[in-house]
Amino acid sequence: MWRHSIVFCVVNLLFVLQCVSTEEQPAWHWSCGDGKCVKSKHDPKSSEPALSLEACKMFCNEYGMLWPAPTGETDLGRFLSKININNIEIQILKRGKSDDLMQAAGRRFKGLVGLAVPLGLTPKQTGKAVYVYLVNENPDVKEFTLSDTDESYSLRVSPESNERINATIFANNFFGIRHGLETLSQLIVFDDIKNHLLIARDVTIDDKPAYPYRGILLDTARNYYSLESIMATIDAMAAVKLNTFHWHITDSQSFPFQSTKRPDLTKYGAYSPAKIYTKDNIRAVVDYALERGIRVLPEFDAPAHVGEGWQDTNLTVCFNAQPWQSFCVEPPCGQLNPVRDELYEYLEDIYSDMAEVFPTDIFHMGGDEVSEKCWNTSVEIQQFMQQNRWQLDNEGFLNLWNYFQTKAQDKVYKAFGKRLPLIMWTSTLTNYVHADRYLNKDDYVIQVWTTGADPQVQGLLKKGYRLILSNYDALYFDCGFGAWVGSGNNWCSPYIGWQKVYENSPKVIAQEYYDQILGGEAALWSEQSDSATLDGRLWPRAAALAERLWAELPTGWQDAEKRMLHARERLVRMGIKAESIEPEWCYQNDGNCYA
Amino acid sequence: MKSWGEALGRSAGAQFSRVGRLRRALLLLAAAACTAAALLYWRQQADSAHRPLHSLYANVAPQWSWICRNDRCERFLATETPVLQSLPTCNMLCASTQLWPQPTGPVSLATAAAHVSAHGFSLQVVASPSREIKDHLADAFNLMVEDLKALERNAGLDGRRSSSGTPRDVVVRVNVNGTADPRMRQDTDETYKLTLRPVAHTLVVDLAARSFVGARHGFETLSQLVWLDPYAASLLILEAATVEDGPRFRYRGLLLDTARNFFPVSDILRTIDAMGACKLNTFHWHVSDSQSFPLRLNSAPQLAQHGAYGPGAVYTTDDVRTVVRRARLRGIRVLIEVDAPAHVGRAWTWGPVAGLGHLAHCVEVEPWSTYCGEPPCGQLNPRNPNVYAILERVYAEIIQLTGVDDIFHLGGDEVSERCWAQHFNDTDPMELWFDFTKRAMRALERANGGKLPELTLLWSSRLTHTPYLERLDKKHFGVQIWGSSRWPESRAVLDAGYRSILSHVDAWYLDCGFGSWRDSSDGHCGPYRSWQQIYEHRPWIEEMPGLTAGVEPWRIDGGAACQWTEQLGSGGLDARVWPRTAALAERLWSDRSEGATADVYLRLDTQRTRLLAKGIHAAPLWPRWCSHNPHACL
Repeated sequence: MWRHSIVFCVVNLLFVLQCVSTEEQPAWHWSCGDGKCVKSKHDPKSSEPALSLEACKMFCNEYGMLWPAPTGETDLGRFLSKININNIEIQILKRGKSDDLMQAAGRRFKGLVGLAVPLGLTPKQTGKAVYVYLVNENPDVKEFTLSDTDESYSLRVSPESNERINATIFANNFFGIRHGLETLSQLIVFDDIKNHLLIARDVTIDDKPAYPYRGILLDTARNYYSLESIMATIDAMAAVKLNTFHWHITDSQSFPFQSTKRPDLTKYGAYSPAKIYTKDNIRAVVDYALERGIRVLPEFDAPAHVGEGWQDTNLTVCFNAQPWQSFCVEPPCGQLNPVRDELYEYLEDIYSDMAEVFPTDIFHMGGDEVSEKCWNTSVEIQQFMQQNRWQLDNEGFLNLWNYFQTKAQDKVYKAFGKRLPLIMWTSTLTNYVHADRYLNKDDYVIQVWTTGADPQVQGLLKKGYRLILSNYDALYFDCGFGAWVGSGNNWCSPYIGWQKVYENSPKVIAQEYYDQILGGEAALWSEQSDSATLDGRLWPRAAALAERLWAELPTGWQDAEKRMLHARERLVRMGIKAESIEPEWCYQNDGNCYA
Repeated sequence: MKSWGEALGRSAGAQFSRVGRLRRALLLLAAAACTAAALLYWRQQADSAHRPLHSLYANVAPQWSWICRNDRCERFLATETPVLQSLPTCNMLCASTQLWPQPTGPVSLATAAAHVSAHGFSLQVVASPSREIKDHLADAFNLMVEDLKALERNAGLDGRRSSSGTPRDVVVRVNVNGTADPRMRQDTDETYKLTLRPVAHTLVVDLAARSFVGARHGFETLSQLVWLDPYAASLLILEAATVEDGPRFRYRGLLLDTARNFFPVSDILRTIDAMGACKLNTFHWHVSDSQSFPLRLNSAPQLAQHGAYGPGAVYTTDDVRTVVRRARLRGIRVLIEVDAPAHVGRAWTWGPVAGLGHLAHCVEVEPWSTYCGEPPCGQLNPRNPNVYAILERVYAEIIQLTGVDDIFHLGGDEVSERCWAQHFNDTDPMELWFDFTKRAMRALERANGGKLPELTLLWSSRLTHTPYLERLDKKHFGVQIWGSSRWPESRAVLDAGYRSILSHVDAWYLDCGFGSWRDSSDGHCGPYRSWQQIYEHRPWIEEMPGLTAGVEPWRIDGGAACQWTEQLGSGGLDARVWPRTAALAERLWSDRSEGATADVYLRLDTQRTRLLAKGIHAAPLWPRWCSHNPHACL
C-alpha cells in the first residue's frame, strides 16, 4: 500500500510540474493590422484575446498561410476553433483501386497535423473532433496521364455541432483529394499561448493548378544521393504540390541505375557497390512518390553524357578524351557510337529495365549537349557518314544524330509497350528552324534550359511544340558557387534568389502560346552537391517555383513573402534543412524587412 | 633506406606491386626567411603473403583498384591489376602528404601502412607542467580516439575482426615543456614536433610541444595519418613519420552570427570540431544583434528575455560552458562579441519600466533605411550611465564564462550618426561614438579586474578612419578589418600600424553570393566566394609596403572567415562553412606561396572526407568522379 502512495505522489508531482511549465506564458503576442501581424509584449493579466503568431497569420492575409495559393474561390472565414489532436477521423466515402493511396494520404495528413505542434509540447486534449470526408469521384484512377490528370479539388470546413467540425474534400481522383488534404493541413495551427491546436472553422476553397507539369530534376550521377535524402525531397515536394520528380539517374561520371539486363553497366559505372539504386530501391521511391501525388520521371540521357559503365562495351567514343575541353563541356567526355547496331540492343535493354521499375506516362530521352567533335574522332563514324552521303558538317552530324534518335525512339516504345510522350533537352537538334524535320511535335516535348528570353522559345512555340521550362537564368539551382574546373565562379553564376524563381512566369515568357506550356522544372545538377547540400540547394527555392506553377499569380514576390517565410518554416518542421532566406526577426515582424 | 611493414598486395612479384610503394616523402623546410625542399625516398619491401580480401561491401568484389604512377593515383579495373588497393590507401601512400593544413616545418612520411584499431591507441604523458595540462591531454586524446572509433563504426567495423592480421598498438608519448595554462592565449606557442616509428610490434609516437594547444595540434596531425581502408576493412596508419610544425599566423578564426538566425548548441559544437580538425584557434561568436539576443546571462537576464526569438532559441550559461569546454580541448578560444553601440534591438527596451531610462534609441524605427544598414535598427543610448553598468556586468560574465581575458571584442560595427543626431543634436555623433568607446573600454577594464586585455578589437568603421583612428590607443586597440582589401581605408589601418585581424569582405565573407534577402537584386556583396578565392587571398604579400620605405610593417595577427546569417539557418550551416573555411585555415596556418594547385585540390578533397566522417556535412568540391580520377578534372 505504501508503495502505491509513493507512486501516486510522484505522479502527482509530475503533474504539478507540468502544469507549472505550461503555465509559463510566452513573452509576446501578435495582432493583425493593415495586413501585417504586429508583435507586442504579452500581458497575461489583460483580458484582451491574445493571438499567437500563427493564429494571427491565418487571417491577416487573403491566402492565410496557404502555399501554394489556391486559384479558385478562397474564403478562410474569420474564426479558429480549438480541436483535439487525438480526435481526427478520416472517412473515405467511395471505395476503389486507389484505396491504399487514399489511406496513405490520410496517414500523411495526420503526421502533418502532428508537426504543427512544436517539439516537446503536448497540446490540451480538449476541443472539437474533426471529421474529414474524402469524396473521390473516380476511386479507381491511380495513374498519371500527362496534361490529362485532373488535380483539382474543393474543400469545405464547417462546424457540425458544438463538439464537431466537418471538413469535406471533393475531387475527381486521388490526386486532387491528396492536394486537398495538404491544404487542409495548412489550415491547422498551434497556439502557444493557449497551448491548443486550432483550425480555421468556416472555409471554402476551390483549387486547381495552372500547369500540369511541376517538377524538380535531381542529378544523382555527378554525385550520389542517399535514398533517404531522395525520399525527404519527395516529402517536401508533396507539401508544396509539385508533381514530378525527374530523375537524371545516369551521366558520364557514373551509372548508379541497376540494369539487370546489362549488369556490367552498373558494376563498372557505379561509384561503389554501395552507391547503386537497385530495382527495389527505385520501386520504393516510385511507390513513396505516388502516395504523395508525384510521378517519378526517369531520364536516360543519350547519345552524349555517357561514359562510366560502358568501358567494356566498345560502344562509346572519346570516353575521357583529353584535353576534354575539345570534346565536351566537362570531364569526362563520352558519347555513344550510333553506327554500331549492338548499341540499340543495349538501349532496348536499358529502357526495358527502366520500364520495369518506372511505371511512367512520359519518358525523358536526354539529348543534351551532343558534340560533333567527339563523333568526328571516330574513323568508323566518318566512314558510316560517307556511306550515307552525309558531309562531315553540322547538317551531316544532325543526320547522324537523327539516325540515332529515330532508332532509340522505337526502342523506347518497344520497351514501354506504348507510344508515350518523349522529352528532350533543347539542343542543336531541337533548333526551331529545323526541329520539325527530326522531331514530331506530337511525339516530343521540349525541355528548355536556355534563357527565358532565348528566341528558340518563341520559335518552338510557333511551330507548335509543347514546352517545359527550365530556363537556367531562373531555374538552375546549382548556379552561383565556385567553379570546380578552372577558376572564378561556376558558369551560370550568380546564385538565383527565391524572388527570381518566383517571378519566372511561363505565362509571361510564352505569351499567346501559353497553352503549349506544360509547366516548369527546377534543375539541381550535382557537380557540387550531394546529400549534404541537397535540402539547402532545393528549399525553399523550389517552393517558390511550386507557387508560380500552381497559381501563376499576376503579382510578384513581395506579395508572397510573408506566406513564403511560413512555407519555409513548415518545411523545416518536416525535417527539411531548408536555407534561411531572412533573419527569423522578419518572420516574427511582418512587413518590416522591405527594401 | 630501411623499410618497414606489410603491404596489401595480393601477389608480390606483380607488375605494379612496387609502383605504389616507391614514394616520395616530403621534406618541407619553411622558415620565415628561407624555404628548402628535399625528397626522401623510402623503399618498401615487397610482401609475399597472400591476403584474403575482406571487403566492406558484403558479397560484392570491388571493381576498382588505384595504383600510384608518376606520383598520381590512377584507377584500373580490379581484374586488370594484380594489386588491389583502395583509393584512400593509394592517396595516403602516393606522392602528396594528404595533411591539412600543410605543416610548415620538415615532413617525412613512410610509404608503408600498418593495421591499427582505435582501441589500440594509448596515451603516456611523459612530462607536463601541470596537473591541468595532463588532464586536458587525456581528454583531448580521448576525443581523437572517439573520432577514430566513429570512423570504424561508420564503416561497420565495430566488433568485426579484420582478416588483415592483428592490429598494431599505438603508444603516444607526449612531452609538454612550457606553459601550465591549457588555454589558447595571445602568447601560446602552438608549435609541435611529432615522430612516429615502429618499435617491435608497437608503433611509438613521440609528440613534443610547448603548450597543451601545440600538443593537441599534434594529435590532430596524428589522426590525419590514420585512414579507413574499405577493401581491407581496417584502419591503417603510416608506419613512420616525422612532422615539425607551427602556424604562420597566431589568430585563425571563424565568425558565426547566431543572432540573425538561431543555431542550436549541437551545431556550434560540430563547427568547433571541424575547426579543430583544421587547426583554427578562434571561434568568434557574434552572439547578439538587432534581430535577437539569445544569450541568457545571469548578470542581465532581461536581455535574452526581451531579445530572444523564443524559449527554444536561447543559450544558457551552461550551454556556453559546454561550448567553451569543447573548444578548449580543441585548442580554440571562444571570443564572444556582444556588438555595441549599434546592432542592438529589443533586448534593450526594458530600461524605462525598470527605472533605468532609455537604454537604446531608434529600436525598430521606420523607415529603417534612414537609420541603419538593415532592419531592424537600434543603437545604445551613450548618455545613460546605466548602459555602461550593464555592459560592465555583461563583459565580466563573458570573461568569466569563456576564460578569455587577454583579448576582447567590443563590436563597434556600423554606427548610424543619424540616429544619435536626432536624439542628441547638441553634440557631434562621432564624438558621442568616440566617447562611448572610451566608456565601454573603462567598463571592460573594471570587468576584467582592473586590467585591460592585451588586445581589444573593434570592427573597422568610420571610427577607425582618420582623424578618429589616431585617437585610439595602439597599445590596446586592434581592428578587425571587414572592408574590401581594395578600399584605401582598409589599408590605412594597416599602414597606421594597428594590430589587425583580416576579414576582407571581398575574400572571406562566407555569406556573399546568395542574392538580396529584401529584394530580387544580387545583394550587397555578391558573388559567392569560392574556396579557391579564399585560399588565394594573401593581401600581406600583394600589398605589404616595402621594408625600405620607412613605413611601419603591417601588424597582421591573422584572419577570420565571417558567416553572417541573414540567409542561413541551422540546416545549411555545414555546407556553407565547409570546406571553404578549411581553405582559410591552411592559408593562415601554412601560408604557402602556391595558390590552389592540383595538390591543394586533392588534399582538400581528402580533408573534406575527414570532415564528413566527423559528421560535418561539408559540400562536395566536385563530382565524385573527380575524386575517383585524381587529376582528371584539373
